[in-house]
Amino acid sequence: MKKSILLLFTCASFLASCTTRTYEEISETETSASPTYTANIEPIIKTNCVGCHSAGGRLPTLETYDQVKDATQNGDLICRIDQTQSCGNVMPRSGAMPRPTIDMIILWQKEGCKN
Amino acid sequence: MKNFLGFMLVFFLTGNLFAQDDLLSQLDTVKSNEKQIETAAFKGLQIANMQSTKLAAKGEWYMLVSHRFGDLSEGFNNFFGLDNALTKFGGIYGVTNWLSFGATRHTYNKIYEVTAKYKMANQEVNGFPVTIVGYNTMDINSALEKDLYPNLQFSDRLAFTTQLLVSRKVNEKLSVELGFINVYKNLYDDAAEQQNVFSSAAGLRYKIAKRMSINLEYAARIITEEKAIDPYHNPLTVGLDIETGGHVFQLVFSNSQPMNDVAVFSGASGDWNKGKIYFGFNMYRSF
Repeated sequence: MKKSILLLFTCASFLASCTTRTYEEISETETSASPTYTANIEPIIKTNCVGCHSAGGRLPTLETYDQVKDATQNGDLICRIDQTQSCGNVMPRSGAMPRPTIDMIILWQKEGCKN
Repeated sequence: MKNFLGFMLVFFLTGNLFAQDDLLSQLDTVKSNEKQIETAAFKGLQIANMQSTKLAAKGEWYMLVSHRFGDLSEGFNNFFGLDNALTKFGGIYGVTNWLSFGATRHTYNKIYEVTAKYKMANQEVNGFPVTIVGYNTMDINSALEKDLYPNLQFSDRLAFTTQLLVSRKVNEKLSVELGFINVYKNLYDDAAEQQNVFSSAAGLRYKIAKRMSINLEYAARIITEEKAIDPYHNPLTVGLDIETGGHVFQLVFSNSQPMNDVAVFSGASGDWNKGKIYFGFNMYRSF
Protein backbone atom coordinates (compact mmCIF):
# COMPACT_ATOMS: atom_id res chain seq x y z
CA MET A 1 0.00 0.00 0.00
CA LYS A 2 2.80 2.43 0.89
CA LYS A 3 4.49 1.70 -2.43
CA SER A 4 1.41 2.32 -4.52
CA ILE A 5 0.82 5.64 -2.79
CA LEU A 6 4.37 6.69 -3.59
CA LEU A 7 3.78 5.64 -7.19
CA LEU A 8 0.60 7.72 -7.37
CA PHE A 9 2.37 10.79 -6.09
CA THR A 10 5.19 10.40 -8.59
CA CYS A 11 2.74 9.95 -11.45
CA ALA A 12 0.82 13.01 -10.35
CA SER A 13 3.90 15.19 -10.22
CA PHE A 14 4.92 14.06 -13.72
CA LEU A 15 1.48 14.88 -15.07
CA ALA A 16 1.77 18.40 -13.77
CA SER A 17 5.13 19.06 -15.38
CA CYS A 18 3.98 19.55 -18.97
CA THR A 19 4.98 22.74 -20.75
CA THR A 20 2.97 25.82 -19.92
CA ARG A 21 1.77 28.33 -22.47
CA THR A 22 -0.29 31.51 -22.38
CA TYR A 23 -3.38 32.38 -24.41
CA GLU A 24 -1.24 34.82 -26.44
CA GLU A 25 0.98 31.97 -27.52
CA ILE A 26 -1.82 29.81 -28.85
CA SER A 27 -3.80 32.56 -30.58
CA GLU A 28 -2.77 34.89 -33.36
CA THR A 29 -4.50 38.03 -32.14
CA GLU A 30 -2.54 41.26 -31.88
CA THR A 31 -2.81 42.99 -28.52
CA SER A 32 -1.39 46.17 -27.07
CA ALA A 33 -0.08 46.87 -23.60
CA SER A 34 -1.68 50.33 -23.57
CA PRO A 35 -4.70 50.09 -25.84
CA THR A 36 -6.54 53.08 -27.32
CA TYR A 37 -9.99 53.22 -28.89
CA THR A 38 -9.03 54.12 -32.46
CA ALA A 39 -6.01 51.84 -32.69
CA ASN A 40 -7.19 48.73 -30.83
CA ILE A 41 -10.77 48.73 -29.60
CA GLU A 42 -12.73 50.12 -32.53
CA PRO A 43 -11.70 47.35 -34.99
CA ILE A 44 -12.79 44.67 -32.49
CA ILE A 45 -16.16 46.33 -31.83
CA LYS A 46 -16.72 46.85 -35.60
CA THR A 47 -16.13 43.17 -36.41
CA ASN A 48 -17.86 41.59 -33.41
CA CYS A 49 -20.61 43.88 -32.10
CA VAL A 50 -21.88 46.48 -34.57
CA GLY A 51 -23.61 43.83 -36.70
CA CYS A 52 -26.42 43.84 -34.14
CA HIS A 53 -25.59 46.78 -31.83
CA SER A 54 -26.16 49.59 -34.35
CA ALA A 55 -28.71 52.42 -34.47
CA GLY A 56 -32.17 50.90 -34.69
CA GLY A 57 -30.87 47.50 -33.63
CA ARG A 58 -30.00 45.98 -30.26
CA LEU A 59 -29.19 48.17 -27.26
CA PRO A 60 -26.68 49.41 -26.34
CA THR A 61 -25.66 50.99 -29.64
CA LEU A 62 -21.90 50.63 -30.07
CA GLU A 63 -21.07 52.82 -33.05
CA THR A 64 -19.10 55.70 -31.56
CA TYR A 65 -16.34 56.16 -28.97
CA ASP A 66 -18.78 57.72 -26.47
CA GLN A 67 -21.28 54.90 -26.83
CA VAL A 68 -18.66 52.20 -26.31
CA LYS A 69 -17.11 54.09 -23.40
CA ASP A 70 -20.52 54.45 -21.75
CA ALA A 71 -21.35 50.76 -22.23
CA THR A 72 -17.99 49.74 -20.71
CA GLN A 73 -18.03 52.13 -17.78
CA ASN A 74 -21.72 52.32 -16.88
CA GLY A 75 -23.17 49.29 -18.66
CA ASP A 76 -22.21 45.64 -18.35
CA LEU A 77 -20.27 45.29 -21.62
CA ILE A 78 -17.25 43.70 -19.93
CA CYS A 79 -19.30 41.31 -17.87
CA ARG A 80 -21.15 40.19 -21.00
CA ILE A 81 -18.04 39.47 -23.09
CA ASP A 82 -16.14 37.74 -20.27
CA GLN A 83 -17.55 34.26 -19.81
CA THR A 84 -15.75 33.82 -16.49
CA GLN A 85 -18.09 36.40 -14.96
CA SER A 86 -21.72 35.39 -14.83
CA CYS A 87 -23.92 37.79 -16.78
CA GLY A 88 -26.02 35.37 -18.75
CA ASN A 89 -25.29 34.37 -22.33
CA VAL A 90 -21.85 35.41 -23.43
CA MET A 91 -21.40 38.05 -26.17
CA PRO A 92 -20.91 37.85 -29.12
CA ARG A 93 -23.63 35.27 -29.66
CA SER A 94 -21.35 33.23 -31.91
CA GLY A 95 -19.07 32.55 -28.91
CA ALA A 96 -16.63 34.39 -26.67
CA MET A 97 -13.75 36.26 -28.27
CA PRO A 98 -10.16 35.08 -27.72
CA ARG A 99 -8.94 35.61 -24.15
CA PRO A 100 -6.23 38.19 -25.04
CA THR A 101 -8.85 40.35 -26.80
CA ILE A 102 -11.15 40.30 -23.77
CA ASP A 103 -8.23 41.13 -21.48
CA MET A 104 -7.26 44.05 -23.68
CA ILE A 105 -10.78 45.52 -23.48
CA ILE A 106 -10.73 45.14 -19.68
CA LEU A 107 -7.34 46.83 -19.59
CA TRP A 108 -8.62 49.65 -21.81
CA GLN A 109 -11.46 50.28 -19.38
CA LYS A 110 -9.08 50.14 -16.37
CA GLU A 111 -6.83 52.75 -17.97
CA GLY A 112 -9.74 55.14 -18.39
CA CYS A 113 -10.91 54.35 -21.94
CA LYS A 114 -8.25 56.21 -23.92
CA ASN A 115 -9.49 57.49 -27.29
CA MET B 1 -57.88 -7.13 37.36
CA LYS B 2 -57.14 -4.20 35.06
CA ASN B 3 -54.61 -2.87 37.51
CA PHE B 4 -52.97 -6.25 37.74
CA LEU B 5 -52.65 -6.55 33.93
CA GLY B 6 -51.20 -3.05 33.78
CA PHE B 7 -48.73 -3.92 36.50
CA MET B 8 -47.66 -7.09 34.69
CA LEU B 9 -47.20 -5.17 31.45
CA VAL B 10 -44.99 -2.54 33.06
CA PHE B 11 -43.09 -5.22 34.97
CA PHE B 12 -42.26 -7.26 31.89
CA LEU B 13 -41.42 -4.25 29.77
CA THR B 14 -39.00 -2.81 32.29
CA GLY B 15 -37.63 -6.28 32.87
CA ASN B 16 -36.87 -6.56 29.20
CA LEU B 17 -35.23 -3.14 29.14
CA PHE B 18 -32.96 -4.01 32.03
CA ALA B 19 -32.07 -7.28 30.37
CA GLN B 20 -31.14 -5.40 27.22
CA ASP B 21 -28.90 -3.07 29.14
CA ASP B 22 -27.13 -5.99 30.70
CA LEU B 23 -26.50 -7.65 27.37
CA LEU B 24 -25.21 -4.43 25.87
CA SER B 25 -22.82 -3.81 28.72
CA GLN B 26 -21.51 -7.34 28.33
CA LEU B 27 -20.81 -6.63 24.69
CA ASP B 28 -18.89 -3.53 25.62
CA THR B 29 -16.63 -5.34 28.03
CA VAL B 30 -15.02 -7.34 25.25
CA LYS B 31 -12.08 -5.18 24.21
CA SER B 32 -10.00 -5.91 21.13
CA ASN B 33 -6.34 -5.09 20.93
CA GLU B 34 -6.68 -3.40 17.54
CA LYS B 35 -7.03 0.37 17.57
CA GLN B 36 -10.45 1.49 16.41
CA ILE B 37 -10.63 3.82 13.44
CA GLU B 38 -12.49 7.03 14.22
CA THR B 39 -15.53 7.17 11.96
CA ALA B 40 -17.49 9.88 10.23
CA ALA B 41 -15.36 12.96 10.67
CA PHE B 42 -17.24 14.16 7.61
CA LYS B 43 -20.48 12.76 6.21
CA GLY B 44 -20.04 14.06 2.68
CA LEU B 45 -17.18 13.44 0.26
CA GLN B 46 -16.93 17.22 0.07
CA ILE B 47 -17.03 19.76 2.89
CA ALA B 48 -18.70 22.20 0.51
CA ASN B 49 -16.43 22.93 -2.46
CA MET B 50 -13.31 21.40 -0.98
CA GLN B 51 -12.87 17.63 -0.59
CA SER B 52 -13.28 16.11 2.85
CA THR B 53 -11.17 13.20 4.06
CA LYS B 54 -14.02 10.75 3.51
CA LEU B 55 -13.58 8.20 0.73
CA ALA B 56 -16.01 5.87 -1.00
CA ALA B 57 -15.85 2.39 0.57
CA LYS B 58 -14.63 -0.58 -1.43
CA GLY B 59 -17.01 -1.37 -4.29
CA GLU B 60 -19.22 1.61 -3.54
CA TRP B 61 -20.58 3.85 -6.31
CA TYR B 62 -21.52 7.45 -5.79
CA MET B 63 -23.52 9.49 -8.22
CA LEU B 64 -23.20 13.20 -7.79
CA VAL B 65 -25.09 16.19 -9.15
CA SER B 66 -24.17 19.74 -8.21
CA HIS B 67 -25.51 23.10 -9.25
CA ARG B 68 -24.34 26.65 -8.66
CA PHE B 69 -26.78 29.32 -9.66
CA GLY B 70 -25.82 32.78 -10.87
CA ASP B 71 -24.83 35.84 -8.92
CA LEU B 72 -27.34 36.60 -6.13
CA SER B 73 -26.68 40.35 -6.20
CA GLU B 74 -28.50 40.85 -9.49
CA GLY B 75 -31.91 40.09 -7.99
CA PHE B 76 -34.80 39.79 -10.42
CA ASN B 77 -32.61 40.62 -13.43
CA ASN B 78 -31.45 37.00 -13.49
CA PHE B 79 -34.14 35.75 -11.07
CA PHE B 80 -31.59 35.45 -8.22
CA GLY B 81 -29.27 33.40 -10.38
CA LEU B 82 -31.64 30.83 -11.81
CA ASP B 83 -30.88 32.09 -15.31
CA ASN B 84 -27.20 31.22 -15.32
CA ALA B 85 -26.75 27.93 -13.50
CA LEU B 86 -23.65 25.76 -13.78
CA THR B 87 -23.95 21.99 -13.44
CA LYS B 88 -21.54 19.27 -12.42
CA PHE B 89 -22.50 15.67 -13.02
CA GLY B 90 -20.52 12.51 -12.47
CA GLY B 91 -19.62 9.44 -10.50
CA ILE B 92 -17.08 8.16 -7.98
CA TYR B 93 -16.04 4.56 -7.46
CA GLY B 94 -14.19 3.06 -4.50
CA VAL B 95 -11.62 0.57 -5.81
CA THR B 96 -10.49 -0.23 -2.29
CA ASN B 97 -11.22 1.38 1.04
CA TRP B 98 -8.19 3.63 0.60
CA LEU B 99 -8.42 4.48 -3.11
CA SER B 100 -11.23 5.88 -5.23
CA PHE B 101 -11.52 7.34 -8.71
CA GLY B 102 -14.03 9.82 -10.04
CA ALA B 103 -15.04 11.48 -13.28
CA THR B 104 -17.29 14.51 -13.71
CA ARG B 105 -18.48 16.79 -16.47
CA HIS B 106 -18.83 20.51 -15.80
CA THR B 107 -20.83 23.14 -17.67
CA TYR B 108 -18.06 25.63 -17.00
CA ASN B 109 -15.66 25.53 -19.98
CA LYS B 110 -17.18 22.12 -20.85
CA ILE B 111 -14.60 20.60 -18.52
CA TYR B 112 -14.12 16.89 -17.93
CA GLU B 113 -12.53 16.37 -14.52
CA VAL B 114 -10.93 13.08 -13.50
CA THR B 115 -9.92 12.56 -9.90
CA ALA B 116 -8.03 10.18 -7.64
CA LYS B 117 -8.36 10.17 -3.87
CA TYR B 118 -6.22 8.02 -1.60
CA LYS B 119 -6.00 7.61 2.14
CA MET B 120 -2.58 7.53 3.74
CA ALA B 121 -3.51 7.37 7.43
CA ASN B 122 -6.58 6.99 9.61
CA GLN B 123 -7.41 8.79 12.81
CA GLU B 124 -7.67 6.18 15.58
CA VAL B 125 -9.46 6.21 18.91
CA ASN B 126 -6.66 6.76 21.46
CA GLY B 127 -4.12 6.33 18.66
CA PHE B 128 -2.96 8.17 15.58
CA PRO B 129 -4.37 11.71 15.85
CA VAL B 130 -5.31 12.62 12.26
CA THR B 131 -6.61 11.30 8.95
CA ILE B 132 -4.38 12.07 5.98
CA VAL B 133 -5.70 11.97 2.43
CA GLY B 134 -4.18 12.85 -0.93
CA TYR B 135 -6.29 14.13 -3.78
CA ASN B 136 -5.44 14.81 -7.41
CA THR B 137 -7.57 16.26 -10.15
CA MET B 138 -7.00 16.70 -13.86
CA ASP B 139 -9.22 18.98 -15.94
CA ILE B 140 -9.70 18.67 -19.67
CA ASN B 141 -11.12 21.89 -21.08
CA SER B 142 -13.18 20.93 -24.11
CA ALA B 143 -14.49 24.44 -24.78
CA LEU B 144 -11.26 25.70 -26.34
CA GLU B 145 -11.55 25.82 -30.12
CA LYS B 146 -8.98 25.75 -32.88
CA ASP B 147 -10.82 28.52 -34.74
CA LEU B 148 -10.15 30.92 -31.90
CA TYR B 149 -6.73 29.60 -30.93
CA PRO B 150 -4.95 28.32 -34.06
CA ASN B 151 -1.90 27.00 -32.20
CA LEU B 152 -3.93 24.93 -29.75
CA GLN B 153 -2.55 21.54 -28.73
CA PHE B 154 -4.16 18.88 -26.55
CA SER B 155 -1.83 19.59 -23.62
CA ASP B 156 -3.14 23.18 -23.51
CA ARG B 157 -6.49 21.83 -22.40
CA LEU B 158 -5.12 20.34 -19.19
CA ALA B 159 -4.98 21.77 -15.68
CA PHE B 160 -4.18 20.01 -12.42
CA THR B 161 -4.52 20.20 -8.68
CA THR B 162 -2.52 18.30 -6.10
CA GLN B 163 -3.94 18.33 -2.59
CA LEU B 164 -2.91 17.06 0.79
CA LEU B 165 -5.78 16.99 3.29
CA VAL B 166 -5.39 16.46 7.01
CA SER B 167 -8.45 16.16 9.22
CA ARG B 168 -9.27 15.55 12.84
CA LYS B 169 -12.58 14.71 14.46
CA VAL B 170 -12.28 16.77 17.61
CA ASN B 171 -15.45 15.51 19.26
CA GLU B 172 -18.87 14.15 18.31
CA LYS B 173 -19.90 17.52 16.91
CA LEU B 174 -16.81 19.19 15.56
CA SER B 175 -14.41 18.07 12.84
CA VAL B 176 -11.67 20.23 11.35
CA GLU B 177 -9.53 19.92 8.25
CA LEU B 178 -6.41 21.58 6.87
CA GLY B 179 -5.58 21.48 3.18
CA PHE B 180 -2.45 22.24 1.19
CA ILE B 181 -3.45 22.74 -2.41
CA ASN B 182 -1.48 23.44 -5.54
CA VAL B 183 -3.13 24.42 -8.83
CA TYR B 184 -1.14 24.10 -12.02
CA LYS B 185 -2.40 25.26 -15.41
CA ASN B 186 -0.88 24.22 -18.70
CA LEU B 187 -2.62 27.17 -20.34
CA TYR B 188 -3.01 30.39 -18.43
CA ASP B 189 -4.01 33.99 -18.97
CA ASP B 190 -0.88 36.07 -18.52
CA ALA B 191 -2.85 39.26 -17.82
CA ALA B 192 -4.89 37.88 -14.94
CA GLU B 193 -3.75 34.44 -13.79
CA GLN B 194 -0.76 32.78 -12.23
CA GLN B 195 0.45 29.57 -13.79
CA ASN B 196 0.88 28.04 -10.38
CA VAL B 197 -1.31 28.92 -7.40
CA PHE B 198 -0.59 27.53 -3.94
CA SER B 199 -3.25 27.77 -1.24
CA SER B 200 -3.46 26.75 2.34
CA ALA B 201 -7.03 25.93 3.18
CA ALA B 202 -9.06 25.22 6.28
CA GLY B 203 -12.48 23.70 6.69
CA LEU B 204 -14.76 22.59 9.48
CA ARG B 205 -17.97 20.72 10.09
CA TYR B 206 -20.15 21.39 13.11
CA LYS B 207 -23.12 19.15 13.81
CA ILE B 208 -26.23 21.10 14.81
CA ALA B 209 -28.74 18.25 14.77
CA LYS B 210 -28.76 14.50 14.30
CA ARG B 211 -28.78 14.75 10.52
CA MET B 212 -27.62 18.30 9.94
CA SER B 213 -24.31 20.09 10.10
CA ILE B 214 -22.93 23.50 9.25
CA ASN B 215 -19.79 23.55 7.15
CA LEU B 216 -17.29 26.30 6.54
CA GLU B 217 -14.19 26.49 4.38
CA TYR B 218 -11.66 29.08 3.30
CA ALA B 219 -8.49 29.02 1.25
CA ALA B 220 -5.76 31.64 1.31
CA ARG B 221 -3.95 31.91 -2.02
CA ILE B 222 -0.32 32.86 -2.05
CA ILE B 223 0.12 35.59 -4.65
CA THR B 224 3.62 35.65 -6.10
CA GLU B 225 3.08 38.02 -9.05
CA GLU B 226 1.14 41.26 -9.43
CA LYS B 227 -1.13 41.05 -12.49
CA ALA B 228 -2.53 43.79 -14.77
CA ILE B 229 -6.08 42.64 -14.06
CA ASP B 230 -6.79 40.78 -10.85
CA PRO B 231 -10.41 39.73 -10.77
CA TYR B 232 -9.99 36.86 -8.29
CA HIS B 233 -10.56 36.40 -4.58
CA ASN B 234 -9.86 33.78 -1.96
CA PRO B 235 -12.64 31.19 -1.95
CA LEU B 236 -14.94 31.31 1.09
CA THR B 237 -17.80 28.84 1.27
CA VAL B 238 -20.53 28.19 3.82
CA GLY B 239 -22.66 25.09 3.63
CA LEU B 240 -25.42 23.14 5.31
CA ASP B 241 -25.43 19.32 5.14
CA ILE B 242 -28.74 17.53 5.28
CA GLU B 243 -28.51 13.77 5.47
CA THR B 244 -31.45 11.70 4.33
CA GLY B 245 -31.20 7.91 4.02
CA GLY B 246 -28.77 7.19 1.18
CA HIS B 247 -28.42 10.82 0.15
CA VAL B 248 -26.25 13.61 1.39
CA PHE B 249 -27.65 16.96 0.38
CA GLN B 250 -25.38 19.96 0.78
CA LEU B 251 -26.63 23.53 0.43
CA VAL B 252 -23.80 25.89 -0.43
CA PHE B 253 -23.13 29.62 -0.54
CA SER B 254 -19.81 30.43 -2.19
CA ASN B 255 -17.95 33.17 -4.01
CA SER B 256 -16.88 30.65 -6.64
CA GLN B 257 -19.44 29.68 -9.21
CA PRO B 258 -17.46 26.98 -11.07
CA MET B 259 -17.09 23.72 -9.13
CA ASN B 260 -13.90 22.20 -10.55
CA ASP B 261 -11.08 22.39 -8.03
CA VAL B 262 -8.80 24.28 -10.43
CA ALA B 263 -11.30 27.13 -10.72
CA VAL B 264 -12.34 27.11 -7.04
CA PHE B 265 -8.77 27.45 -5.76
CA SER B 266 -7.45 29.89 -8.35
CA GLY B 267 -10.38 31.69 -9.95
CA ALA B 268 -13.12 32.56 -7.46
CA SER B 269 -14.51 35.72 -9.07
CA GLY B 270 -17.31 36.48 -6.62
CA ASP B 271 -16.96 38.86 -3.71
CA TRP B 272 -18.66 38.36 -0.32
CA ASN B 273 -18.31 42.07 0.50
CA LYS B 274 -20.33 43.06 -2.56
CA GLY B 275 -22.91 40.31 -2.16
CA LYS B 276 -21.60 38.70 -5.35
CA ILE B 277 -22.08 35.14 -4.12
CA TYR B 278 -23.50 32.02 -5.63
CA PHE B 279 -26.06 29.68 -4.14
CA GLY B 280 -26.17 26.02 -5.06
CA PHE B 281 -26.13 22.45 -3.84
CA ASN B 282 -24.25 19.16 -4.04
CA MET B 283 -26.24 15.95 -4.02
CA TYR B 284 -24.61 12.58 -3.43
CA ARG B 285 -26.34 9.26 -3.85
CA SER B 286 -24.50 6.05 -2.99
CA PHE B 287 -25.19 2.63 -4.46
